[in-house]
Amino acid sequence: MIQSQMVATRTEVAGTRGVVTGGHPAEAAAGVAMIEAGGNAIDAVVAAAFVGFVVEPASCGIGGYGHLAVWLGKEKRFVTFDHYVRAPGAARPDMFEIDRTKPNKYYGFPYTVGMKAEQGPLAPAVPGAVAGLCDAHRMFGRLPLAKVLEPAIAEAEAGIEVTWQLLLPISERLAAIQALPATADWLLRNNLPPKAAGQLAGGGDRLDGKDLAKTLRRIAEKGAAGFYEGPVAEAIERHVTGQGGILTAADLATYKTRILEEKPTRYRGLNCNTCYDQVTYEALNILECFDLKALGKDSLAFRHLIAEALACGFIDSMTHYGDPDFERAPVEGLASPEFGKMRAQQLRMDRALPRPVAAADPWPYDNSAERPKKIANEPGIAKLAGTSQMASADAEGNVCALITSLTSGFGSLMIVPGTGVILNNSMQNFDPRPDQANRIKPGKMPIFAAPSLVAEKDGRAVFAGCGSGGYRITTGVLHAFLYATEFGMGPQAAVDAPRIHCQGQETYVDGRIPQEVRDGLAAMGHKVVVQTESPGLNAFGRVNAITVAKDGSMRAGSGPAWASAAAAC
Amino acid sequence: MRPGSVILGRTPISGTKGAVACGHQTAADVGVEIIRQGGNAVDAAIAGAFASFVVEPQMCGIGGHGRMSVYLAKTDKAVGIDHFIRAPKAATPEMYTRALAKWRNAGWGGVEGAINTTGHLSVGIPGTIAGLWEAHRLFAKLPWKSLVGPAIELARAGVVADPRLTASIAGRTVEIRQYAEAAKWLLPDDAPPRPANAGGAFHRFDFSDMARTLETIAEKGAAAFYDGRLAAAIDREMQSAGGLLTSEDLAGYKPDTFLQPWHDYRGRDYVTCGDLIYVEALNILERFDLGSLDPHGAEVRHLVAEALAQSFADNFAHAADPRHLKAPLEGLASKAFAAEQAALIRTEKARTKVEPGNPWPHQGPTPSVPPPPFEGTTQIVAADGDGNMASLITSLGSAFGSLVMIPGTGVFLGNAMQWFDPRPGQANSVGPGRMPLYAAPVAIFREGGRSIGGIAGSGGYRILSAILILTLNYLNHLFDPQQSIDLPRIHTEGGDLEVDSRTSPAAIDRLKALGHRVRLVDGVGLPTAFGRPSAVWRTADGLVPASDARSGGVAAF
Repeated sequence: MIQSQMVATRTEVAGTRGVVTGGHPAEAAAGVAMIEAGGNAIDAVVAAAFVGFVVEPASCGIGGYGHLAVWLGKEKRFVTFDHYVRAPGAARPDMFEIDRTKPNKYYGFPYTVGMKAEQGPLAPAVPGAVAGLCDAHRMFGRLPLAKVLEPAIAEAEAGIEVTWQLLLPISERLAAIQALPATADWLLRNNLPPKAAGQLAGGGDRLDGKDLAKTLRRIAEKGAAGFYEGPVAEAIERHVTGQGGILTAADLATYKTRILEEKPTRYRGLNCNTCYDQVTYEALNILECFDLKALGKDSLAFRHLIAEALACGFIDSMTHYGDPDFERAPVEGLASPEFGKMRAQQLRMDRALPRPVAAADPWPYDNSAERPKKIANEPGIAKLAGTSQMASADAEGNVCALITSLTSGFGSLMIVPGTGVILNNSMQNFDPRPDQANRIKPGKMPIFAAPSLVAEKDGRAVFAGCGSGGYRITTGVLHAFLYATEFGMGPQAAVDAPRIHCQGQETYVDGRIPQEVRDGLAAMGHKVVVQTESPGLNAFGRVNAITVAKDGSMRAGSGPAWASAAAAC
Repeated sequence: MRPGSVILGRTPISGTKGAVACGHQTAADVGVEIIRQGGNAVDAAIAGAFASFVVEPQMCGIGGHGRMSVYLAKTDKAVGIDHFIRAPKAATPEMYTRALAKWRNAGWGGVEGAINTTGHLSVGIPGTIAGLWEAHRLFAKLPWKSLVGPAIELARAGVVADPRLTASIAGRTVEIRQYAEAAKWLLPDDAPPRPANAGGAFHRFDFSDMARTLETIAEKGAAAFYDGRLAAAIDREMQSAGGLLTSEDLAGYKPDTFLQPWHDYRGRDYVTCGDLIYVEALNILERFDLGSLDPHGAEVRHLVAEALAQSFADNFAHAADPRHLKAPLEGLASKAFAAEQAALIRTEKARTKVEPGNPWPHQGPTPSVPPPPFEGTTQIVAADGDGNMASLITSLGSAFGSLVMIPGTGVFLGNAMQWFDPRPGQANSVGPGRMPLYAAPVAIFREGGRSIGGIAGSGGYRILSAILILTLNYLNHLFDPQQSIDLPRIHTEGGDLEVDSRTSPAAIDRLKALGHRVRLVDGVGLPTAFGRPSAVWRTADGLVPASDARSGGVAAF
């Protein structure tokens, strides 16, 4: 029997002055408004992100963090704003007791006793969202910060309409939300989920955004200091330490974005910057050794190689990655083309690597002299202003890709009274075992494994991709990049097309991939698990992509269609 | 459409021996499998309905109601099996007090305490099992037991909470908490269940009670519901909580089975199983050359909105159960009345208020009599290789109906008493044994002596706009079956005009300029804000099923 499959796509978004994509239509609209007001792609991505912090409170926020990649069209160079969380000053490698009764989390670390790294007052790490975005804006934006934050402040003042996309994460964490009075007070009605727009044919309940608007206005006025110093920082410390947490105002005051000038990796004549994501660098370096175009995007061989490259990339980084500012870790080795080539030589076209895929040793390929050049942050405290995803491009050739996150839906679920700040729960992204490269240390960043990818060719950025959905971000962005650059698909088609995901064990296959390919993968030794997208499920993550043509015209795609947006001018 | 608009659709499939389009993929697969086993379109619709009771428990169930149109190729006749609820014997026109504050867009509005939508007083006599049993008795080829069988298997396995189901539960959590039996089942850990997602744990509903109930129904037929232990349990539950429904009501329930009169739209015949809103709207729209208008533009939307508003107003004012009240049904369905109503529509301006017209002059000299008896809300449309078609709406009213669950049976009772006008003395007032106005066409089209398409849908009054617009998209604008469903729609019952936010900004501006009070609504969210239709059309490719892309299912062979 022939099965009908759902088709989910979008009508084309194209522009000559600018394109912006985000996780919500209000974000894309705010970004385009910046371009129309004379701003550039950096203004646009920052405006879109701050709107996201209001309208997608489950996905991102000023209490979160992110990865921003920027291509500067005039200067023809990449700048990376790694504004991931840092561990608080009082954090220790052995601060969490390891739970040996549970199997490891899906990314290989053990859980902690009482889930203390995942929820509660010890879960939040020092947020970087505001610092990273304010740094990018201060260095390369054009419009005043107050102008860039205007749309976010307006959205917050108006309140946040509950949509079904918001209702699902509320329902999903209902019991935990009910246990926290301040959070329940804000998110629930009669201690129960609010009404979503479209239910019973009416508008949705509105979440109050007044506190957040107040904090955003402080940031608009004082830059990042509006968040990292003064009453907001003090309120965060009070709230967290009052419940036994360790995040302090001093931690906030000393947060610094890691601003890098990375050496991009070469993939088929393109220079790719992933925002210091070694998983994607390794996967690209492996795939560079194969002629994917000749194999064809629907071929069994292409699916197989993607699964293998991702599996290697994930397992190698999970095993070896540690913040290179704090650990002796072979971070450059992981990203080196030679290491990728060695890995590629281990792959066979007729058989999958044995599962679970074993990590390889990147040390022989490591050369710390290749560490990216750090761009000095302004002295002292970051003075200006950071999972959803936004990307932007403007007529000057500037292109940005941003991933911005709270880790879980509504992060730690801790809402700091009077500020509208929802704190992340990113301490769980450290390995709680004190002898691992990704262990906890004060000021250190854990592993992120999320590429904000910008690719450049002959002095012009031609592609930007970003996404959300845990480790499926890597899969999603990598597929979109390959579909667009290897197979010539437009950005919407590149985002829509089916993907497969692998972290070294099961191989997750989109249900739209034909049975014979699935059977072929299984015959090679892949442990195939079929997943099918449907509204409400983001089984393969959500991805945004932008392409820029030679004539400067820009196109944007975003998907899955029910959970993203794009706009242009 | 607006740039960046979501397009949801389906890859096309077709078949020559059978096709099913419905509200859930599992139900579609069950339906087609039944045809493969030698069943006809009616067998497929019945089996698909039972499967839906399990996989879409928020939408439909044993304790619900529905409507079915059947087209028989051999005799070229269409039969209607209206198995909508009937008001219990003890129901009176005064049983509800209208609450003006909750006045709905059109229709009759809310009632105090919302007791016509939640709880025991919202329950009428369920017709679902009687309707399906009747359809089986008259038309089926396979044994009843084999049609219930797939649903029993599904129920034994249980159902995983999907995002739609979770959203349905989350939307009524406050009310569900008040009904212990429902809460026990729908709110594991006192909260909506965690939906299945990419990696995490999820909730699997235990359907073993319903599996046992289905086994009894498979064994004993409709009598198991209307006369046996189940009827007694319903009676007990009602007595204990002030409901009106009794075992006597259940024993006396009969669906309304009738030979359907054919209506005509531009040379094609069709039936609706008694819905005249759709008929009046098509009669009005027939007088305009819709095919020459831009299907994406404002003009066609304006005309459809005006026709819908007029048809709702006229039917809300005049339609009634003809067995209980004199009603100008013939007049409402007449071309002459539609001509008068069409003349009120102006192409350059929307009316601020749409008043009901007077269909009585177009009524025949004798008062309306029920059509001759025939010898004989999710939705399922089925077609077989012999040319038979069945179009079925099967519903619980709201999500999980009245929220009254019969203990130990897995059965929710519907809340269709809400479709009565709560004011006494109206055409659609409550009265014992009466069926309320349903406003839900189950259409089958015929051309040149054979069936060409079946249509049904779900979504309250939005069924009307959804089905009407898909009909126009297919017949006038010549879109393919799936596109006819996927394109952005509008909805109105005479008040605000709800417009899919994907509609082009130019068309939206024009509608506003015409005087419509436009409200933009997300047409591709998880709640199906513009209804969710299904259809099977006979095309050059064979039988082509089409369904809402988010939630529906299609199968063919």
